[in-house]
Amino acid sequence: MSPILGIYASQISGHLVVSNSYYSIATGYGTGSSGTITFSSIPQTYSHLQIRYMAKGTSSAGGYPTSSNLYFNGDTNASNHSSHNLRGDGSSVAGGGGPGADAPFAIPGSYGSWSSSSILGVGVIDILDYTNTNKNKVIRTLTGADANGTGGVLLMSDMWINTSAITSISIVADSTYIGNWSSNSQFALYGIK
Amino acid sequence: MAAGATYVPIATYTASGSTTTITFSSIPQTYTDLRIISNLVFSGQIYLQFNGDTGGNYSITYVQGTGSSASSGRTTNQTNGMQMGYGVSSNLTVFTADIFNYANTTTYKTALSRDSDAGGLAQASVGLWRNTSNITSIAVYSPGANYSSTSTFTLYGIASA
Repeated sequence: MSPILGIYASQISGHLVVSNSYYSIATGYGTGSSGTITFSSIPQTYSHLQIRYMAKGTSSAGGYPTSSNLYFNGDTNASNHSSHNLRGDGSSVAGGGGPGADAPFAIPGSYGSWSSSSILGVGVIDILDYTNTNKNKVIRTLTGADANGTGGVLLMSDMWINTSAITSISIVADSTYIGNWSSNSQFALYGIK
Repeated sequence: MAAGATYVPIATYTASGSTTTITFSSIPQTYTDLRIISNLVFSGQIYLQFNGDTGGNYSITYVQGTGSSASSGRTTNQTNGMQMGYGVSSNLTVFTADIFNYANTTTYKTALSRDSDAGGLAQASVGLWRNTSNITSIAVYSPGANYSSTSTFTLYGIASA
C-alpha cells in the first residue's frame, strides 16, 4: 500500500496554536522497585484531570487482565468505590463490577508473551470535576494491551463515594499480578480547563 | 518537555473524495503521545500504518457492540496496519486514536482507538506495532473505499512534563 495523498507537518502554517486548556502537570516513572505512583499537591485550578500511561509490571505470576487500583486522597477503602466495566479478550466479551469493586486496568505483568520489555499496556483515565465538593467523583477509562495473539481492551467507569476535592492520586499495582512498575513505565497527569 | 500548555494541533487534512489514504508525514519528535481525531464518511476498515511498514508487524484486540450484540476479536500479523475501526458509508463516523510514547526507540508502539458509527457500531481497540522505531509518519488507510469530501483528520501532539 502506498499512500496516494499526504501532507507534511512542516508545510502547515497558521494551525500551530498551543492550546490554553490542556496542561501537563507532572509525570511519574516506574523504578522497578515500587508498585505505587503518586501525584500529590494537585493544583485545584482545572476542571478535569487526565492520566495517560504506558506501563507494565515486573511480576511473572501470570493472569490477564490484571488489575490495579486508583486511590484518591489516600483513601484505600474499596467499599468507597463502585465500578463497572466492559472488556474483551479477543474471543469473548464480558462485563463486571459493582459496589466495592476494584478499578481494573489492562496492564500486563511480565510473563509469557508479556515477558518482553518492549510490550506495555496503555490507557487514558479521565477524572471529572475533581475539585467539586458537592458530589461524588466519577472517572472513566479506556485501557488496553496487545501482544500479537493475546491481550485485552477494557472500558470502565468508577465512582469514588466521597465529595472531597481530589488533591492526590495514587496508582497502586496489584501486588500479585503486576508487582512493581517496570522502569520503562510512565504515568502522565494533565489538567483540562 | 517542561510542564505547561500542550495538546497541539500538528496538521489537519480534509479528504478530497477520491482518496483512500491520508498520510501525516514528518511528524515532530517533540511530544510524548499523538492523538488523531477524525470525523469521516466512508465504507470500510480503518488502518493505521506507521513509517510505511507493510511487513506483517501489526496486531489488534477489540471489543464492539452493534446495537443487538457484543463481541470481541483480534487479528495478528497484519500487513496493512492496525485495523482500528470501521465505517458505514451513509453515516458519519467519529474515530479517535491515541498513539503512546511514539518517539521512543526501545519499546514496541501501542495505540488505543474509539470508533463510533451511529448507524453501525461502537468499538474500542488496542493495537500493537512490533517495531521499536520512532514513528515519523502515519497513514490512515481505508483499503477499497474513498473517504468522502466531508471527512476530516487532525493530528495532535501531547507533551508530558
